[in-house]
Amino acid sequence: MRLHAWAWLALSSLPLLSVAGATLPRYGGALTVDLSQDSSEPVVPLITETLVRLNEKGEVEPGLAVAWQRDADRKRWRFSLRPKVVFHDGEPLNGGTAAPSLGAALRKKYGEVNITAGGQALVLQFDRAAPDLLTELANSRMAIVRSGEKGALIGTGPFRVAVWEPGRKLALAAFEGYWGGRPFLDSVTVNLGTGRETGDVFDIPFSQTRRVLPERIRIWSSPVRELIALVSESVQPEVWPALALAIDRAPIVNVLTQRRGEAALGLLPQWLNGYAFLFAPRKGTVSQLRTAPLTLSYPANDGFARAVAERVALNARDAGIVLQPTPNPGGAVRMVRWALESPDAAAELSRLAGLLGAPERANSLNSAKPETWYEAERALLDAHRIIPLVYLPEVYGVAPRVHNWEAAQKSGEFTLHLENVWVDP
Amino acid sequence: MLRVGLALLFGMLTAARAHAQSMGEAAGQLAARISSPLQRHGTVSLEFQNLTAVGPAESSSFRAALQEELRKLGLEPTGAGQPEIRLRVTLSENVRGLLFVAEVTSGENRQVVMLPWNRPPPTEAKPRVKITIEPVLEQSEAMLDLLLVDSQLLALSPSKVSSYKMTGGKWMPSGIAGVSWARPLPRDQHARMEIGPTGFRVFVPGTSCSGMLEPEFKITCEPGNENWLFNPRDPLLAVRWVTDQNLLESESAKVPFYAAATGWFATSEGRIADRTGAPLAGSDGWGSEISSVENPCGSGWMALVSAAGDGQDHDQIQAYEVVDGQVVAVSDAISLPGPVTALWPAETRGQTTLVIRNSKTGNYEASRLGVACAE
Repeated sequence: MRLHAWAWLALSSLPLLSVAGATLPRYGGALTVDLSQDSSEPVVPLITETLVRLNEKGEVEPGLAVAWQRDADRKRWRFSLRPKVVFHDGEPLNGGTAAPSLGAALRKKYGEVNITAGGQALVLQFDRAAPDLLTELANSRMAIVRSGEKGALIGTGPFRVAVWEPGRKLALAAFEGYWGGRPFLDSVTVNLGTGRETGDVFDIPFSQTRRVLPERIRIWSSPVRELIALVSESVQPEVWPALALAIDRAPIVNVLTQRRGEAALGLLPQWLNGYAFLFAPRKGTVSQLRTAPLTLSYPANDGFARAVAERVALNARDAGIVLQPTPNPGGAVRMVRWALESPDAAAELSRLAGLLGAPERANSLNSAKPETWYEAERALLDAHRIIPLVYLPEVYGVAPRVHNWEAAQKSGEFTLHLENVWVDP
Repeated sequence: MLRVGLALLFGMLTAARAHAQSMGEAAGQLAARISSPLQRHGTVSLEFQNLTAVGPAESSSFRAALQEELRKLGLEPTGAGQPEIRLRVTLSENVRGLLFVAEVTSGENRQVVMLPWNRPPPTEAKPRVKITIEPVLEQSEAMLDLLLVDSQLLALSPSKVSSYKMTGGKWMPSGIAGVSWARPLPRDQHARMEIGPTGFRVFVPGTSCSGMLEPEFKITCEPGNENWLFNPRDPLLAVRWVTDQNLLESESAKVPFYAAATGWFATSEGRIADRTGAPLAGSDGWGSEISSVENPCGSGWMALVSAAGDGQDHDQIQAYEVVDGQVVAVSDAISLPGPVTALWPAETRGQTTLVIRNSKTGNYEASRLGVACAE
């Protein structure tokens, strides 16, 4: 191995996070989280960690790896693992314990990958260039995990699994041996699929009904992170621009999202790319078409999506387009809800291009050059396969006994961050 | 990286000038990128919009600078007639910082030019100061404590102790001793350095260390929580860390506490109390970072106190005396551009070590506070 020919990309250890404010955090206590969804995905990063992380600007930072280097072809990557890290079952983190789960996750994404593990080092050899590897490695899909008895998830994160009832409840306990310092909370109980508002923290999904929240609950909204859009592969070419021009997003934003959402003009929101305003529609006369009725499929059991679909159908009539909303899949036009996964605009565009069946549009993306993002996004929109409608934030109710919530959520990982949260007794 | 100086007011007049210069530089770079794809010189109409929090004065200044730079490149801004090139410039921002977006229309051709710009963070002007601040060190890594020993300055970080020697009026790096703690540091990192028999001592939750400067700069650690003096000039309060937490305990206090000053404790229960746990009336605005310093205007001690709350952007330090059980503010509050992360009595009489995490830069800034009797 010719180390001198490799470009050192990082050689630093992640400073342990300091969250001190003027009132110092308190150790101890239990936090209850009520989630309306029955997936534990938002809290998995509390249990597991990845080799690298994205900060809130979308920049790569050390995680379980403290340094990495690659060859000029971006096919061979070498990672140095953080020393003195242990899994929840006491097994030390090293190349041997990290390789199995990482290899399985990498093969799903890249196909064949040769992994060589030695001590605290991991060497990945790909058949083809992997220029996006670091961004991919920051995704929780690439977490370093081990399987315990009965498939229990064993990670290196700040919390370990105490009780796991799939689809119902996840109880977490503070991991005393966490390399980044024990979390402040003793335990976290996540109730899944409840829709209740009795926990210290609960999500507030968008719905048609206004909710009266318990007293003294404060509302926290993330930046907009979810795109709702129409997609189609089969609609006639002249219909799509006319439909795009006919849709009025203002009632969707003002009424249906109660002004918490933002009108979506492009694929990425303005806070992420900085140029979304360029996609503002030019004013024009709505064409009058006479089309055969088209079915508009929206996600089943999703009251908000149904309301948006009905609003879109109403607008479409102005253009002589008959859309028939249905919760059944397979419509000529489909409504999709796509959540952003990271604050890396280039990576998100690449992912969206794949979802739109046009991965080649992402070939020229350069994460340091916003012009390449714009060109790729413009091309995806001009292909007339997607009409962005609205962006939504995540909204949570937070009880007054919960401290440091807002600061704790500032991260490049769009999941719940509880490791720096603390509570009053 | 390093700086040393006289007592300074927080806020430097030079910051505004540096900021303006950087925006002018941005105007030059943007003009060059706008003109680059154009095949010819000519007249240009300029439309400008600002979608950011950048103020009108700065925005106007940028626009003027851009016009001047365009003129230098043969693109003459015009407000009348039929311009050959139409230019719409937007001052925007994204997750990474400012973004200049220029839409250039020439005939049927339209091009979009973008320039990301990470402008230097503005330094906020701060009000008058009663407590003097002497900036000492600034770094991206956390700083937990400072110690002046044998004319060397030691800075304690989560993974090492760095030494500095004064050379030409500046603290210059002179050595680094890596540290291997017996246990992981707590999430809310606090640690203490004191002068010791062989050089210096370091105390962190769960680990006690001894360090030497000569003949070799090194530090060795053992698991356990030894007692140490909270204030090296006050032998009455011996404390020790609670393993894995940010708390101290002492035979002199009934409950664990974060810090202590003038006989009062910032307790884990979130209040200021005496050794029996009785609360101090009027201390609602006190944060958990408190420290004692000799009263320069009389006898005894006074308390330097951070502000209460979860504030991540700002904090403050104010001096108090406790007279007959009543809290009396004896200085104006000094606003700080980030939360206090460490506040310790210094080894030098009349001084206190302050570390903040600047919320704009993210850097840790260590200073020495002094308290002078106001005129």
